[in-house]
Amino acid sequence: MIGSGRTPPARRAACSAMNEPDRRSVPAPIATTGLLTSFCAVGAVASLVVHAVALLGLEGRAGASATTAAWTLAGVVGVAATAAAARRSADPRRQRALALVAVAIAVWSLGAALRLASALLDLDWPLIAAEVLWCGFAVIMIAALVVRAPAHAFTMRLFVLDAIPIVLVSIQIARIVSDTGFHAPLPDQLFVTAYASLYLLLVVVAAQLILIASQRDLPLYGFVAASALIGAAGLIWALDPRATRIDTGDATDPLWSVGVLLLAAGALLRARSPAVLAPPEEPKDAGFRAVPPALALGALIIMIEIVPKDRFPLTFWFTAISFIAVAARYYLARRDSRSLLERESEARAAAQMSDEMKDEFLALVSHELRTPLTSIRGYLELVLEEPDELSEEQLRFLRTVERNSDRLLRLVSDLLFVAEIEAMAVSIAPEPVSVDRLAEESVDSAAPAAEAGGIALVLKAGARAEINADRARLGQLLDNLVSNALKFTPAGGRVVVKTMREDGLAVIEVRDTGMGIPADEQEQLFERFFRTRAATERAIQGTGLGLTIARAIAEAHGGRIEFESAEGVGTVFRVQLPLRS
Amino acid sequence: MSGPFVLVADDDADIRELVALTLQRRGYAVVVAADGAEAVERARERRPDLAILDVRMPKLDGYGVLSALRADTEASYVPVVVLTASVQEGERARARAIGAEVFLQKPFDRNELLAHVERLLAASRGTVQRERR
Repeated sequence: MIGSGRTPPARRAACSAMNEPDRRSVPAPIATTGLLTSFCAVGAVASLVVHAVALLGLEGRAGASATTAAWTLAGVVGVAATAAAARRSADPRRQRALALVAVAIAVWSLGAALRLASALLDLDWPLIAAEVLWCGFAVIMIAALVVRAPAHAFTMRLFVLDAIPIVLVSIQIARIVSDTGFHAPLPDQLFVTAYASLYLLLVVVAAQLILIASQRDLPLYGFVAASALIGAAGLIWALDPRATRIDTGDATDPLWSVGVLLLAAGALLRARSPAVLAPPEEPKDAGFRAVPPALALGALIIMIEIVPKDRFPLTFWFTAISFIAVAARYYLARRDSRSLLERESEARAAAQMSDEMKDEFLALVSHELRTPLTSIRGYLELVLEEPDELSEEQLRFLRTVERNSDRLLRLVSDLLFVAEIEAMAVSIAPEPVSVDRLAEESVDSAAPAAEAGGIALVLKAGARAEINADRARLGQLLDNLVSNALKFTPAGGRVVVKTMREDGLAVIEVRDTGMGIPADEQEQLFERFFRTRAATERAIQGTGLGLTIARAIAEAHGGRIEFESAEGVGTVFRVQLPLRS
Repeated sequence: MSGPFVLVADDDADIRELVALTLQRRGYAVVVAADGAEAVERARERRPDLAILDVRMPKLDGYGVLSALRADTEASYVPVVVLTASVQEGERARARAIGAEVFLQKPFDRNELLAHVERLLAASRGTVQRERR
């Protein structure tokens, strides 16, 4: 028997079973996160200090070196924090996305290190390599955001259509810039175009993700702002002739620094945020998200006005193609989201129809079962009314028939009630009911079964309280618990039904010294049709509906039911119900 | 003179006989009907002191019989017990609304049925006596 004075092992087992999933998903990164935060702060502050010093006249190249060193540090912090967040996250989609962000930050930091090498060693190729890596950063970040987005938000089709006006406007910017004084060789022009379009695309994708309500969160804003700043800084940097880029770097350094700071901050926020799964994403009108590419189109249209047509004959065609792309994107997104909504409402209607059919079917089956049962029981009663005319054996046989017809009737009622539970249509007719009386009635009606099983059935009524309850349903709940306790307790055992008041609640406890419920079966106990291995092995009668019904009844009364159990020691079920006010 | 006269309508022959037997053993006179139309006819032939009606019956369901009884000035005071195997929600409320005194679900408890019958007959005797005065 489980004493209430000590903490039984079963209680601990039950608790840990309930809490384990949460605990597992929270490794230990709070301390690590604190460490990483200080690293990040040191890196960022260091780089800002270097900027300040550079403004005061520190020589360009040395300033660039120090700043780059600080960035690399911040980058390392970002990678570590993102990787930690990825490890913690319970959502595989988010995990993949965070892993990609970690890779992106690592790539960017490697670029920063290469720029440092270029400045220190006075070499050109590390700078080119750095530029390629920074383009790669944008590509990987875009991939991360697309992976993170819900499936309906980005399809490859929409993505390509988004990219068209953005790439075209970037090409146009590069051409205009090169025409107005940027006489760079073709590779540089390509680089500028790639840089501009990739970072614009990154910002557009992120903006679209933010437009989906459930994706709005602080870390994401951090990543987006960081991408925009790094992109802007990179663009200014790339537009500068190669020979003077290191010095230009000094001018754009604050932009880079703030960008990297935001990147690391976003990663840290992500690592700290609770690892909750995102709520189910509602399909929104995806057409709305065509806004960013439409803005790019607007930029092109303005360009038609301000750019001399003779030197840039392609502007018109760029705009026309972009217009088609944006229109197509808007149309497709609208159609997709509408068909998604339609499919949902169709599915709802179908589910509702099948529910109605199920109800009808159940009502019919139950009616058809009850009619013959009425005759079986009725005639049996008529025969048993004159037991003297029956032989001992006949009487025993007829009692067996009676018991089994009772059982069949109970099964029919239980099945019907479970259907009500499923339809969430459990109806109760509440009236003032004495908890003690209810327990007493239940114990009285179970007394013969207890006696037959050689089990001591004890009532300890101490609630002296009334509740608002459906007498029949609550009686059914208690009968289920008591009959379970008797079924699973061997001869010589003890079943105690106890009522009390606790924290403004009426509590009914049914405690047995039975075989107990193995820990691995405890979680499924309230599932309908679930039967423990022991029940099946020992052929203990039951349908696996009793506890499903018990819980539904408790909940329909605004109460709850819980249990503690230890194998070979016993089980206690505890029903808590609100007192009548 | 025999005991009170009870009309029992049920399309299931076994249940019809069961209810009739149960009542007869207590000394009631019983007339049976296998469907709603027959029940109305029997009630017209001789006004019963009480009617026990099944709901699902061919030709005319129990509610139809009940309405017919209530519309008939002769039989409008006849107390009615609705006896059904149906478990659909609202059935009880519907029976009450049309004017059934008692709603019982099959399988019914014999003693409960008999207690209701006795109570209703006693009450209606009182009503009839008051009317006569």
